[in-house]
Amino acid sequence: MWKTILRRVLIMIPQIIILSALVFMLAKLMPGDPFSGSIGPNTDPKQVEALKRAAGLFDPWYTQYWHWVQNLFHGDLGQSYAQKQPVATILGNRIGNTVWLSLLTLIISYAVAIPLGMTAGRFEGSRRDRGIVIFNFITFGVPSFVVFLLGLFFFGYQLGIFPTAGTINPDATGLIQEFFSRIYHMILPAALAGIIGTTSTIQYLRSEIIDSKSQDYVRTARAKGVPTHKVYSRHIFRNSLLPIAAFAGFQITGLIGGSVVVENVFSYPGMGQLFLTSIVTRDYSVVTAIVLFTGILALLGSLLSDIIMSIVDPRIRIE
Amino acid sequence: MSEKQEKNETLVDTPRTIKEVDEKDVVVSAPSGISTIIREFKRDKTALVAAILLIVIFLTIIIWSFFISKETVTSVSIMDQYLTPGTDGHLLGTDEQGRDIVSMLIASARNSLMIAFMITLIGQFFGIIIGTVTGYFRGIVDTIIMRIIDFWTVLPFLMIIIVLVSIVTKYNEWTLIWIIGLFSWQGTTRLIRSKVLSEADRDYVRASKTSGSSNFMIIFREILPNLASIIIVDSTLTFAGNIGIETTLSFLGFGLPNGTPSLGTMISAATDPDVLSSKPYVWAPAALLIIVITVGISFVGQVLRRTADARQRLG
Repeated sequence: MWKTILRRVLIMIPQIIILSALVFMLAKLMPGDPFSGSIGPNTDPKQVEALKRAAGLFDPWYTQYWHWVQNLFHGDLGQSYAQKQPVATILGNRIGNTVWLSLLTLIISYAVAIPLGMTAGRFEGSRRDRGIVIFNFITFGVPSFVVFLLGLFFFGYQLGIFPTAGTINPDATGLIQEFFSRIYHMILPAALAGIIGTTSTIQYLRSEIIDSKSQDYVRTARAKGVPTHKVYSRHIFRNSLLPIAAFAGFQITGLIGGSVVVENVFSYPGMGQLFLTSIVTRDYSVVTAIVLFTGILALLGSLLSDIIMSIVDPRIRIE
Repeated sequence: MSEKQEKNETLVDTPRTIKEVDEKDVVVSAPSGISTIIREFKRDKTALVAAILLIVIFLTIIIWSFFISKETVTSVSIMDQYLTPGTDGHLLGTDEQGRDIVSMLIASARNSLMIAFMITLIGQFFGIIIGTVTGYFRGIVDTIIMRIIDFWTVLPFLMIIIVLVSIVTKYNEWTLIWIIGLFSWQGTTRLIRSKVLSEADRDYVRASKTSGSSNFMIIFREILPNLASIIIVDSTLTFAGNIGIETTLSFLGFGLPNGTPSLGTMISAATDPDVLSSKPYVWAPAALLIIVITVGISFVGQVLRRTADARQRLG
């Protein structure tokens, strides 16, 4: 098992190198350079050129790439020209919001998906199962932004029970009030994103349970006289739970990628929203940093999933 | 696949119960794809309704869009801004620029469907070619391509598409189609590859090889026709997904260029809190249409999946 994990971690290294090269390429493709913002019509073109030369913009690409990577290791992600601040500082302010929102989304998603998947698998073919399968089609097909907008329209504006933007009420004072205000602002986006995110978990759990029904260990448990509900809640559920935990890594990846949409609709100041505003303002150093950061996070997520799966399921270990 | 695994599979395959043999025979003697599809639709009333609804919607959009001139859709008349449904012959009202919502809806839906269709075509084309080649020939190229796909699927592709869209200078709907298309063949490749892997081990392929058929013949005349049903199912479901991707991008402002109406851009009017909360007639029809189309397609896709896989059939 350790061998598998070590190998999987080693695969990460070329992946991260390719990712960084890819992001660097994207950064080079983006129009403009770090000085476009500070150059006025009166700036002497010679001075500009000197500045560019000093920044290494005329070096061959491999030298530039190497400098870029070195800076990354020192935590220097560059300077945002739109906000006149180091990119690392700007990102630091936003990451927390996105992480909390994703975490709450994940919790809600599992809280909805696990009982539904269990029910659908246990009562396969029944009315309940069909209802859940139809629910699954809807969450699979409908684009998330439509669901977010409808949710915001009904719960935010029509019923007025949830805030329609932001992360926290400015009036909230004290740690406890602040905490609840944050949760209150996150609950609607997290609930909607969570419900949309149930599709794969429900489908997976349902087919897993249908498969386990005919397994020997279930037959043995039944033969020993274990009551049906216990067979499901203990034996089958436990065996289906671990692979689902393994999928959590991929779920996180999807959530952080999806933050672009949810944060945009709910005007929630996280990384996804920062990404879009930075694209619009052509603040490419921020854009590059976000793509790199989410890419690394996504790779870590899949690493986590693979490791958990190799622990849980010996069959998939790399020989 | 190693030799050991291969042996294991044959071992598992040999002792068939009578019931299984029967089922296999039924599949072989099943009259034709179309009659099975009709039978499955008859058994699943929800999907039947969805299919009929989809046909009606698609036909309406295609026929009606011939009667809408580009000028009426794109012409701006500020005087008619935000007319409520029913005024001045505007059945569903007008939007911020005074354009008729019904005409916009038809033109947008046609564009969104066409673009999703083209993306699906590109994605399926590359997916099928790469999937069959890697699955059939295996070896080092297969390993490399699969590693690339593993890596690719993990990347935050929505963000990367947005970056690409924003740095492409000459930009039109075809650029968008190609950018999304080149990001959407991985799933199909993986599916087709796994099917080809198992298909290439079947007796009919071996027999064909022994009798001297070329690889090209085996792939295109023998293996691919057997995968036709799976390809149809996959195309249907990716089509629904591609509608989602295009409308999401257009909604965020990185999809179709300005002036080309899309369901996503229509809904993006709702990013204005006032329009979202008090003028739902501007964005709700487009939202509703997206829901009906995408959910309808996933219902139909599910029925097709059942006809493609005999074990899942309802009867």
